[in-house]
Amino acid sequence: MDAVHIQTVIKDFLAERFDISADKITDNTAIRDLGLDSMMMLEVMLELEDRLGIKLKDLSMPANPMLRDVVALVERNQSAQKR
Amino acid sequence: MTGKNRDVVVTGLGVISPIGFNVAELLSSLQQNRSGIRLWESSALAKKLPAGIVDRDFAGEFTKLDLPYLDRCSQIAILAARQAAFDGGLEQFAEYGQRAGLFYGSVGGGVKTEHEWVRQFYVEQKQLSKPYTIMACMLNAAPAHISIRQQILGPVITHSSACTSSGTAIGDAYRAIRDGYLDVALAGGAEAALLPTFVALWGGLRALAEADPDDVGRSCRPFSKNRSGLVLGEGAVYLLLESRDSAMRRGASCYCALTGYGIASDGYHIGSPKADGQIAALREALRDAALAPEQIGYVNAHATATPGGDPIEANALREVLGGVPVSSTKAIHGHLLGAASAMELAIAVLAVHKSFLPATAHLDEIDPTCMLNHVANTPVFDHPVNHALSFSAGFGGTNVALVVSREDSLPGKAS
Repeated sequence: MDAVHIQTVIKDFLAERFDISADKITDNTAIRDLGLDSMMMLEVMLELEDRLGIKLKDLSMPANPMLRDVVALVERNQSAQKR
Repeated sequence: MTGKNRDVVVTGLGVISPIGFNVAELLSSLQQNRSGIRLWESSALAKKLPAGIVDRDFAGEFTKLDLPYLDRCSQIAILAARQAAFDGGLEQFAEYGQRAGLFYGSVGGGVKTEHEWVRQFYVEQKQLSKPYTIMACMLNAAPAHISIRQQILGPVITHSSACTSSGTAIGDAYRAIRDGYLDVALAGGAEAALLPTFVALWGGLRALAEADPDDVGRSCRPFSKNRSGLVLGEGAVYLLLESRDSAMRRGASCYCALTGYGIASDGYHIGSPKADGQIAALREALRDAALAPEQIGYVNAHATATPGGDPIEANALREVLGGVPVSSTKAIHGHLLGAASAMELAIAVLAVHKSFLPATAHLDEIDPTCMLNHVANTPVFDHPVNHALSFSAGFGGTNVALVVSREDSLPGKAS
């Protein structure tokens, strides 16, 4: 599963659930700037677990995460699972 | 504090109800006796029942970023509160600081969200809810959202005393303004619980009316010899209350004044009313308003159309108010539970403001145990009402009476 795929899954969910158009989101878009609060972020994480079939054990992220930070979080958890 | 015993006026109304989605529609339905009782059905319940249905989905009024937190109950509460504020010429309350309050009543709060989560838990074996579910179903969700949206920064309080929930909310808002703690308050209630699980709870009580076989709109018949029970409804109703001085300062027009509040409890039985508590609440409201019984020109009764409840209330009303004209408008809007007192006080406000007596619809044959000076079947127009009283009685035994009075020191509402 590469970064582009993870990004697509996140963007699809944000569009479906919160009406946020994919073209508004870049790697450097802060999730908070899209109008998501911490509980909505939590739902994004839970949804990623379901859609990607993974378990996110390490949820640490910078204070105001950008899309690329979420992607990095997923990749970090994936590689931890493989080890 | 700016002084005690200040006069309180009603400067705005907001209504989302089975008989109107704004004040003008509500007034039109009352004056034409147009019933909002329709046939309600669910695939989960074998029986179809009459209900006071708000036949609109309001989700489109909110963004998808808002909606996870907003049960239908919160949605209609937010919209009705906003209507009341706009009607009163206000949008945001931040300038009032802690001198603006919000008083809200509801029985169930986010019932739809809560029952859906219970279904997911037991049927789908989900072990965790969505992150927002607890905040969408908690009883004080709606007033919290209104406070955030309209920057109401003083007390934001939720009342829950069954069918008097919004009545006690309005009463406490009135006292807070009268006693100088607040300048302005939104007060009212909301209920949106027409779900099979909730309806079946009332069915279990054997308290619900059957659908009238000829006209479902006639299924709720308060005070009638052939009444068969209550008809559940949904809706949200808010009043904008403020001190007369505050309204004058900003040049606001008003519907009327709120002049009396009486509250008393039966101390008797969890589900059966007692006339003593009702009488005490009615007398206290008159005393608070400094009015004699004969000065009341119209009473909007609680009268849910149950066999047991109506005669007890009729007794209490006769005892305190004698021959004052009485009606129960539940005949056309049903029982709005947490919003019932606010809905019926709004109707009393319109009776004073528009000089008419709303009727009890479908009252062809009055039950001899419910004899009162009934406004039966047809509203009475061009009938000045200087003072009107709205009465509510709730499961658990809390009784509330509120009095509104003609107000001539401020410009009247145009509509």
